[in-house]
Amino acid sequence: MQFGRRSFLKMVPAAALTATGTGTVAGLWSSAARAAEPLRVGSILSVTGPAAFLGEDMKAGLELAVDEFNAAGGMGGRKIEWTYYDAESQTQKGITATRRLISQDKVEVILSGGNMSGIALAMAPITNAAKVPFISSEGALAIVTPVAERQYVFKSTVDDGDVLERIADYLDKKKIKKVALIADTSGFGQGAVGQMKIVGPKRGLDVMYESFAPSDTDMMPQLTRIRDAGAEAIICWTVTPAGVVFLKQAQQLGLDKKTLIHSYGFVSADYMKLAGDAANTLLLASLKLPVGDQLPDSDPLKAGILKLMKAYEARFKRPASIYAAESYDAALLAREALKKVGGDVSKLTQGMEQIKDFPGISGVFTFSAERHSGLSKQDIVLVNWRDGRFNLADYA
Amino acid sequence: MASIEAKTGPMTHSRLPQRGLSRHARLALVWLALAAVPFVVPNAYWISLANLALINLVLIASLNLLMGYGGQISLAHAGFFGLGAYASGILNVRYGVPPWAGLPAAAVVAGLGALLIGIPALRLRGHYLAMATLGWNAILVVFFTQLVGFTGGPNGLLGVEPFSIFGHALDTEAKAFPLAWAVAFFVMLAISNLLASRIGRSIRAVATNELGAQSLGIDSFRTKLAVFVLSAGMAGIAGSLYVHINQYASPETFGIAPSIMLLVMVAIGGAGTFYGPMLGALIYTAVPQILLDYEDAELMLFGLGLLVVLILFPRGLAGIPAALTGLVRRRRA
Repeated sequence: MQFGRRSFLKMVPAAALTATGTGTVAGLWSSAARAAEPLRVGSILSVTGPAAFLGEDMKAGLELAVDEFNAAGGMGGRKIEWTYYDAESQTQKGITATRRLISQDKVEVILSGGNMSGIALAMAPITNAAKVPFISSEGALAIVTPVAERQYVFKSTVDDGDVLERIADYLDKKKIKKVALIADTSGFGQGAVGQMKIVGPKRGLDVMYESFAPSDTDMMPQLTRIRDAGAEAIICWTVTPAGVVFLKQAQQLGLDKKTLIHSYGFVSADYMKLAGDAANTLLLASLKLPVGDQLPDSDPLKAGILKLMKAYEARFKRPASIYAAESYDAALLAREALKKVGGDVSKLTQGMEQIKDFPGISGVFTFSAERHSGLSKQDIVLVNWRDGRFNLADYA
Repeated sequence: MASIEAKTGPMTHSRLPQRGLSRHARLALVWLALAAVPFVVPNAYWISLANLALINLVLIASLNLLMGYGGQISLAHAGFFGLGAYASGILNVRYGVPPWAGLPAAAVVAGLGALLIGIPALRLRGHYLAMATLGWNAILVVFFTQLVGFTGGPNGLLGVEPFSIFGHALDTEAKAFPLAWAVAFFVMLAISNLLASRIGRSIRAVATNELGAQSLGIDSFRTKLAVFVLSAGMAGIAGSLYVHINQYASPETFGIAPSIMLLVMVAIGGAGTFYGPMLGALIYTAVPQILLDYEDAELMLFGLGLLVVLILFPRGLAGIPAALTGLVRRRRA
């Protein structure tokens, strides 16, 4: 109800202006009213529950984007009116809140889907059936595939397959063939296992698989098996503190002399501090954001990253994370798509599919009618942890 | 231990409505009134809430049968809900079984799941029974999460088809409502008939005084097992509705936290009252939606509300009229 009143008030000056103007046609009134009407944007985030540590950053990313865009005239010529609901890391809550956004709040675009792949996966068919464009900042590739059933769904995150391809490039360079992938049993970990089973054979890697529960505090059995199998590189895939256990116990077994790689889910200064000197030899396959200032000036992302970092830190008093960048990117993409179709929300999906080589924060986005996931392996770099910060270790 | 069972089954207040209309006529009238819901609510979001409330009603009413009338505690109800959802969903996605066949299959699978744990666990009482069922729910969630090939694992089961009638898919909120409405009606009717039958009297006799019931020739263990399996079967039916209406299921919907919430909702509505679960379902569905606007305070307000109701009205919302008349009578005296 609040929206109705507010938008009505905004329409009053436009109507008054038209009424006092001499000889204005009725059409002008409606176009003026339409321009004054805000663009209704909705988001589902999990700012409580197990996924809250991502949700807070994603919410901050969207808040920043909405305010920045509104200060610069909004999206597609309309101010943004942003509604968000907390899914509490629960799929059912996410589904109900999505229906509320669509039917009750009548949002025209949805950005971010609960910061859990499970929630975004449940939302995708609903938003698609309602023909409301949904730009997901969640990871799973199945959110946007098959494209025929996901015409209104896009995602602003990198695909695990691309990250693994990028890691394979690095291993190629180091002439490493024998690899272990130790992943947690969450959707994030198991998604990577599924992708590795495609990427591994394609790149001629000999991969062994181990897994652990996100709450595990001991991985000695898995790591011992990996050591005995003689893997030259060990890739760990988790967003949970169990990744610290992995580092410490790998060090105890002397595996830190091998190549240890963590995924982009573990790029967190807190985790690195917890791991202490066990993180010394670690590499992380990361988006470029944490090493933005060390990128060569020719990098198309550098300027955008530095600008976001500065604005984010000034407002939220903490450094921007890659998660904040993912939701910020979802908003950037929606604005760019609307620009391509002259602000017509009903054509936003066509606009998204026209986006080519567009530098966001997480990477350079290219979408097409066949591919609704915009990033590529070029957006991944390898970083290490030295002197209390992340540093660029392998650029391309 | 016996004292806990007595508390969960306030038998003196579990009489079925007897004055005026017959119980069937009452139920039919209530359901006719509910049929108007899609026509009076403003949009599809509200209808989706009505569907969810009806699914929750099946869950809470079946748990009330077990808890309120049967005097048993189960902390695995969401697990049986999940068994039904995954049974129906997996049959549909992996084997192409239509949802209509999945619905009874869901009831059977959830019932079997209850039988499996019920045979050993129902020999326990009170806290120990609660612990055993809690453990069973935890085990079920592990299965839902780890059997990635069947359940889709943590990312959930994708590509579930909606119910369809003569090739016409019930794929919108408004189309799914009559189905949820009808299924919930039949479940409520079944519970009502069951309670009025000889078995229903045995169930209540066992809950009130197990030794006494046994001395009258009632096999208390088999009676408890029967009501446990029936209640789980109904949760399975709710699961089938859920998975085909949402066309999706993921493990955390069926965890221990929802099991506890269902238990609380039985108490809030009024354990051992026939229409209490309707209040419980209404609150379980509506209150989180109302509190969505209060962001961070949401969980706190919800918890506070539950505490207030349970402290002030230990017999639940359905017990409020009785509590108030009791209060008035005491004042007059």
